[in-house]
Amino acid sequence: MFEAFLDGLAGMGSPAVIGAIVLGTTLGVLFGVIPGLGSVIAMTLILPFTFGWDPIIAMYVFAGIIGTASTGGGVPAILLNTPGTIANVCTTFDGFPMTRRGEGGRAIGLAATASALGTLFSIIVLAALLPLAEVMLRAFTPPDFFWLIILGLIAVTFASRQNMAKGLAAGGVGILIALIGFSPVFGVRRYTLGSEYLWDGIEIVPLVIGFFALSELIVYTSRGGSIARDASVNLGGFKQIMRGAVEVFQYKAILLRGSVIGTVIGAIPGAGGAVANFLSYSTAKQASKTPELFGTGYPGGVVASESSNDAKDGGILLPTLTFGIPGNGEMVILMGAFVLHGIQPGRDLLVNRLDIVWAIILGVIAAQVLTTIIILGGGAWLARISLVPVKYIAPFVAILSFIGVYAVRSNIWDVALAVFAAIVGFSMRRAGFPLITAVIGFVLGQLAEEKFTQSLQISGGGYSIFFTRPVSIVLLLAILFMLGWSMYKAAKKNPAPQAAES
Amino acid sequence: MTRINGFNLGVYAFLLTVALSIVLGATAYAGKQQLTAFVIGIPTITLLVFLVLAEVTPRLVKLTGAFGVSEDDAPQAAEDDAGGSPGGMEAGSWRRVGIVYGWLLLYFAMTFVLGFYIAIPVFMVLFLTIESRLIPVYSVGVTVAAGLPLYIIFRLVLDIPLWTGILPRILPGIIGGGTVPQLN
Amino acid sequence: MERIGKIGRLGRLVLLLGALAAVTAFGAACGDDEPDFPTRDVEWFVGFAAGGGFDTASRIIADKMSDDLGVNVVVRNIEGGGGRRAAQEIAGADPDGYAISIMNMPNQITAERLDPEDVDFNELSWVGRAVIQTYGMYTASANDFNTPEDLQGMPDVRFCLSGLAGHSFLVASVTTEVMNIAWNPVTGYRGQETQAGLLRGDCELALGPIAGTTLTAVQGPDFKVLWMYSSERFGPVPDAPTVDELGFPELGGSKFANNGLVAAAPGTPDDVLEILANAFDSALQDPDVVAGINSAGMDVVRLTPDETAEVVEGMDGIVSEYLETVRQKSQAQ
Repeated sequence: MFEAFLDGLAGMGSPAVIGAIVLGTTLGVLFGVIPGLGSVIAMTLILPFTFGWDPIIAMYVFAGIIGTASTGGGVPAILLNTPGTIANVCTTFDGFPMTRRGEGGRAIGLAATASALGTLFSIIVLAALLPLAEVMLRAFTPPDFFWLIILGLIAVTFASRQNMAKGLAAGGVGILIALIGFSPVFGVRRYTLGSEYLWDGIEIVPLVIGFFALSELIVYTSRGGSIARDASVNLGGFKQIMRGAVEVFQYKAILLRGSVIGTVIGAIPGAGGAVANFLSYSTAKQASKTPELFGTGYPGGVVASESSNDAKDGGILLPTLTFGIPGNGEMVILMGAFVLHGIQPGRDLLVNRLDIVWAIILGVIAAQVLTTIIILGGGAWLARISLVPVKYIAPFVAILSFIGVYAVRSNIWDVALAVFAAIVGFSMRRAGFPLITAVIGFVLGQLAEEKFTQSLQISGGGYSIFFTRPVSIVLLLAILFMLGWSMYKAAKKNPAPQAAES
Repeated sequence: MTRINGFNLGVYAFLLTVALSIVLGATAYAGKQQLTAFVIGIPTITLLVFLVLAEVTPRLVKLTGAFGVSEDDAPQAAEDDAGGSPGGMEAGSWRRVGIVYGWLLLYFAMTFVLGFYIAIPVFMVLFLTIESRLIPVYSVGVTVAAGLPLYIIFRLVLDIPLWTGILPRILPGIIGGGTVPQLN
Repeated sequence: MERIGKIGRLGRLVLLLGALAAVTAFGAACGDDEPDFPTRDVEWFVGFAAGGGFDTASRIIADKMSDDLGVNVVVRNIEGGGGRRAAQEIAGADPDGYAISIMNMPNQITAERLDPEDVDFNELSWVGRAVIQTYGMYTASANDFNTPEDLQGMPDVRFCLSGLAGHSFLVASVTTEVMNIAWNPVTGYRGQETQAGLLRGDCELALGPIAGTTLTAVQGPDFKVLWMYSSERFGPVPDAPTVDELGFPELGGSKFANNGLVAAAPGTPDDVLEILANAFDSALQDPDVVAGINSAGMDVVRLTPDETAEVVEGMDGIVSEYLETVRQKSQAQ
């Protein structure tokens, strides 16, 4: 194993490998920064071109994309309140308020460094855990999955602060609209009103772009001015970015927790970067001595979000490399690349093609370092976007959002959905509904139903399956603890119900 | 505090409609397929009805304080997802919101009918000239400067086939022609 | 959302009328027997995500066809409904040969029968067969059962399946009925999740095309193939018995194979279809193409357009025969 590592390290000096990393990184950052596009699309588009390439070179390109998209996605999240990928949503909570205060550069510095450290952490864990992968994978059965999703949903609802009624209602509506479309579990289509468009349900990308990017566009364009409202504030340029980059180390606990959560959640197929992102953010907030600072432009919030969404990269590679079980869209494409290049994941890969494993691992690390340098170096320049009057930014955001939404599956009605979601999202926000719970309910709702049904099919209809497996019990205890802790905190903070906030 | 917020009521009504149609629709499906819709839908509807009542009956507002729902909180909550800083939802007047959304609708309509290649430059020039008040020459300049890289990235480098509009699809039917066959 | 569907349909109608007008006008103007085809790029629809087996095969074949036809054959992924969106797209396309689509058969026939969507597969203009994937029954190596007899003695054997409408569900229903095995489906397993399910013990059995990553898995030490749905031993897994050997020839042949069949729009003119079919067939005779498809775990067994149409008709028959069994089992869930 060590020998293959050294070979891989030596191979990284070759111009082809360097070129592959640069290509992958460029694509990853580009697609990550552009809202709506993401690593999956970047990988899908490059996949056919790699057919004739040396598999090692192809893997470096893919690793480059995997390692960088969510780092790139943090930049528009901070500057434009527009998460570049779904896993960057929590970055907007504190990153965007910082931008408004004229601290966009500092936030970018924080995000880039937290991302890099998160990735490094998870990749090291990956390398160490490869031999133990089988145990982990077998430990997570459908009932355990179900509880994990419930934990995620509850965590998010608590993350939406004092407005729990509206938070829960929005989450409920999110889950309900996720039921629309073809259900793989039951093999039927539901609530499609006979429309071909709703066959596969509501698409996540147009929904998220409409809710976040376009509804925010309505907010700032109708207001005028620039994104950083006090345009006279100096962003501080490179110095401010470096300040942010160094400052990360003041949030060691948050950083470590985010990295661990990202890695662990990433390793569970299906859970994905968005869940890791939400869980890390809400856990950081729960554990914080100053939870009220979260959501107001608190640097720790950015660290919690960005460390976790990049730390998932290492975790998610684990089941893919060891079992060929892809945990998310990126990994499905990577599997496609394996097939295309005649590589067999699993034992064969770990024994005979360790060069491929190390190419991916080293590729992710190299790409992450490169991205961090690009973003730290170019961040000051990127941050200036927030000082440009919004009337010049708006048409670009609109154009990129439309192209991004359309490019996902070449369906013009997706663009219509995004435009519709924009006004729905805007109205919901104005009426005090947190959109985040709606989106996370939407993402997790159908998965929860699927795992719930699977569990009952496995047990032959008995509900005890939910309470007998060790992992389930641990997760259930975590849920109870979370509920209890929140109630305790609420009771301590607001002895009288009406005293909320005032 | 006593004024009923009609806008909020409208949003509740919309969400209620969505939730109700899914829950009522679920009755058409068999067995376990209904389960999630009911388990999630009924509490959601209850919460929404509760919110409506809280909005129209001022006395209930006090009670809803327990849930953290009161008119004072509403704007604060809205900020949570906008980023959390004070004034997260500082949108302009409704008139401005209408104008901006109108631009989005116009852009979509143009894209739908004419396709991305025509709609993007036309929209950019119109928006920059009318909304951003640039003089037309600058608008065109900015559009070219911004459009060219977009074209190079999406069309030439990535080769993403972009929607070319509904017109080329229906025009042949209207004018009775077809694509011109190649001359050999 | 209702409106969307209507516009789409109206659009298609107008489109179809336009195309008819165009074809008539063109035919009248030329009156020539040399079809002017193709003069622009041909689109090849894939109803599945990029990177999958059919997608990989499509890209390899399309690339070769491009050389032959002198225009680009562009693969376009139209995901949705397990390939059904692409099927609808091709069923409603202009009959000019500029759009073809690979379809997962007889999977899509089963889905269509269980939940009709007005696609008549017998109406399509079939071009040929791109790939064939042989079905097999497999399980985790750790399990100690091997034969149908072993399974007959067990209470409710669980199958990890994708859903209650797919072809695997049909094959599972038929197999258990013929072999007299008590069973229950555990659904929602896509791709490699199935193997994780087997390893974890979510289920005892899984079945599907032994191709791509599934083939890789069953060639490894973690899984074993119990039997193949073929009459001859399956090359890549030579140790697995066939259903014929086990005494169930009614499940054999390539009756339950997964076919990647390629079709053009209904009513495509014969001369255009012939040009397409020739280019398609010669691509499949190219050793590089075959090697590429084989390395993705699929086989090439070529069919002429007429043979393909016959195969489709045969599949239609099988699906009809077992539809009631499937429906009953699915409703019992």
